[in-house]
Amino acid sequence: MEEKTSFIGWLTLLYLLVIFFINVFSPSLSFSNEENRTLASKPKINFNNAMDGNYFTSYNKYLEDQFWNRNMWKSLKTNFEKEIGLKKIDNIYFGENNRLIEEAVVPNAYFLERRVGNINKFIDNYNELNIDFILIPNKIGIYYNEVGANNIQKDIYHDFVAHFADDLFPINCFDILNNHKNENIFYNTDHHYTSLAARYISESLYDKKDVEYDKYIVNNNFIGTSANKIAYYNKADSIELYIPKEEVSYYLTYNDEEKEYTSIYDDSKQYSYNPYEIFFGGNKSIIDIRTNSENENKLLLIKDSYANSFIPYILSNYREIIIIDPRYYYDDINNLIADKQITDIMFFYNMNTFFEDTSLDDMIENIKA
Amino acid sequence: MAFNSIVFCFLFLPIVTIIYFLIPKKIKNIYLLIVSILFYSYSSIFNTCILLLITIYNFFAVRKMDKLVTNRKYKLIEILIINIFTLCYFKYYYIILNNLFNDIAFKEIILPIGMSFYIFTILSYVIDVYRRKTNSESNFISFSLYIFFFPKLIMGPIVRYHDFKEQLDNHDFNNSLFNYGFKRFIIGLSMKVILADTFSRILSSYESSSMLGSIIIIILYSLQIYYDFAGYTNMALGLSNIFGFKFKENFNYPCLSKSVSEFFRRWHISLGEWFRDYIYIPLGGNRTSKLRLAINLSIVWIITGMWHGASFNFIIWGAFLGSIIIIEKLLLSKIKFPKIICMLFTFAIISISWVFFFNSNLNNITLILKNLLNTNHLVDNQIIFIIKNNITYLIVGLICITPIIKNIGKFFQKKTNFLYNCFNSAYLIALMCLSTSYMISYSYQAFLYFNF
Repeated sequence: MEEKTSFIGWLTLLYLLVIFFINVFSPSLSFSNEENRTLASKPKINFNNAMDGNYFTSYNKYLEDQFWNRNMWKSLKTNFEKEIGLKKIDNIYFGENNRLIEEAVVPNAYFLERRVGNINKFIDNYNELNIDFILIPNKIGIYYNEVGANNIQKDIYHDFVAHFADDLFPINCFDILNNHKNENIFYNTDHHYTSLAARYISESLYDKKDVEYDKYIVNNNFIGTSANKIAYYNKADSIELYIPKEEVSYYLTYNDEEKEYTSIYDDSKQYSYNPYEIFFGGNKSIIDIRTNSENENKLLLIKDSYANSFIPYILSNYREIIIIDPRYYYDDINNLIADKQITDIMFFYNMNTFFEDTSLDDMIENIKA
Repeated sequence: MAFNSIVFCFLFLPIVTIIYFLIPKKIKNIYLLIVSILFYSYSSIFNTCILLLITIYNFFAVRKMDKLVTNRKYKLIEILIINIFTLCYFKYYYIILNNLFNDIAFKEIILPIGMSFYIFTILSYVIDVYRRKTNSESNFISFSLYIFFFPKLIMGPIVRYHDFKEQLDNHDFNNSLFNYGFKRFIIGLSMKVILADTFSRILSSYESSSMLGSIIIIILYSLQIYYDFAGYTNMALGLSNIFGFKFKENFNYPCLSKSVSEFFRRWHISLGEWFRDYIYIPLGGNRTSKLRLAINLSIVWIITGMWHGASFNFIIWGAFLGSIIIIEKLLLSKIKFPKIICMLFTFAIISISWVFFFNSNLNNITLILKNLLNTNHLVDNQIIFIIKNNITYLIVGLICITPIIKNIGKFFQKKTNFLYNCFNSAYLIALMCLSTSYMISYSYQAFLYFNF
């Protein structure tokens, strides 16, 4: 044995013990902001779970979740892997200038068949209403060349659109965002597009020209979901809002509650862990906005969170906007459409959510008409 | 409790080690037995009860057999049958019934962790006592510790009783062995969590769709299983060293072998020797006719396959390797090829054999093997990206199957021992931190759906 003068054993033992004591004495956390999930708490032992071993599985989970500074360790691994040349960690690519780009979701044949069938059913059901689909590409659909891949998302979009009449998709968001790809249209650290990109979409959709905006910087230190997923914190984003100088007045209610609000922005979230919740205070199942717009149309907006930064630009175009997120809204929307005398329906999604989340199909399949 | 789990590294190991050094020498063995039972109970207490029953039965049965003057053979057969039956019951009963009667739902029987290893350990003891190669153990604590000793309990190596017994009464603290043990533990841990687990994740993210894709898959199979198993064995041997035990090596750079038979003399050595001593040689070994030799090898390799798992793919795996070894022994033994050709060829054959080892689904097996010969579809974009993305892992993985790094270390150690120790300690601690970050990262599951 050639380790006579070595001291590595003692060093390692010291390392294990130090971490053991830090773990023992650091307080238990119930929630991880970075992972946005509840952390495991200490399990209770009983005869059954000790015999079959479930107790020990839960205890392992508890130790893992409560490990001292988990985030720092994950960050260490991510940075190490980036140094040794990895271009992609988990499902996130490193683009140019620290742009974190999430992989494109590729729907399978079964998913597509179900989705196309449901949309056709929906269009037939409400053929007297004006229905639009807005699908926003993700970062991978615009900056695909930075990760050395083909533009799969664009192919998915074209294949999908080909199933329907042209007027169902009034604008091609790939073209619009591509024209502005050198501007700040996506957050580097988050999967969302920015308010600026949403503005370009709204201007194109409603053919708005010469609208003047006031620009506000809400938060300069925004660390988004993509960065948190892999614990890579090289560069923070800033959240900017563009508010039209001539705004209609409006009020809104959340989740069918009585309380009325006079702003779609929730200032209390400005410096919270997830400042993106400044829009509507986060995702809500149903939001009802009434405006004093001259336009009498009533819009039902079926959407994911990409619509949150888009809504501020369209307030003046409708007398009432009902916004539902099918992931949290489970009632039959047929009643909603009839009761509210809806004239327009808009589906507003980012491509990754649109081709992954099935709650939209559930919602359409639940319509009893 | 797996060696690469948080609970083992940051709770069990430091506490158990510290207490071990503080207690008086005469209770060290009983202490090791208690912590080993705790270690095993951490998977499930039910499994511990089974293992305790097996240990008690074998202790008394072998004692009795040893005392018999006549009819020892019958007692031997009884003990062998009971042990083999226990193993087969847990390992094959459910799978066989389930395959025979698809429509009936049977209560699933789960193989207690490590049973294949500890039953083989016990069998070696039983047969050695019968052959009078070793005396039966009269101290129940010593015998139980032989079975339960936690570094080797779950995944071997399969230690013979006389090797264990020698050290049982004589494992004083030895500073260099202690340091060496932790060094091995860190190296084994990083082989497992940095390399093997990474290769495993690459494999699960890719389905072969070109010739290069299949080639990369089989190379990754080889690397994954080597780093997984040799890593685990390094940890096991390192842990044994920490407590003053020294067992034989279980791996000897097998990927550099020049024939498949040589590969299995350098891969999982303790299992190979077990099969050699308790099955192959009793069947007649090498000193028989060519036909008999082929039959013996077939028997050994089909049992080897079955030992690894109950599904059909392991039997194919064993039969495939058995046939290659028969061809080597009967046809190729007189022909000389250049060393490098033999090494590459052996690596290729072994890598192909892992296709059967890793896939229980026939469609996957055919897909990978078909693409291996698919000259119409040489490369696909996905595999190019995977290679580019993981090039460092692949290069490190290929370098570390050879003793290059170890030899470089030895070279510097000869030049300047003190500097080498400082550098080596820093390097190992860095490796330990990195391994910790990999262990934590696997449990890091960002749940970000609600942000969408």
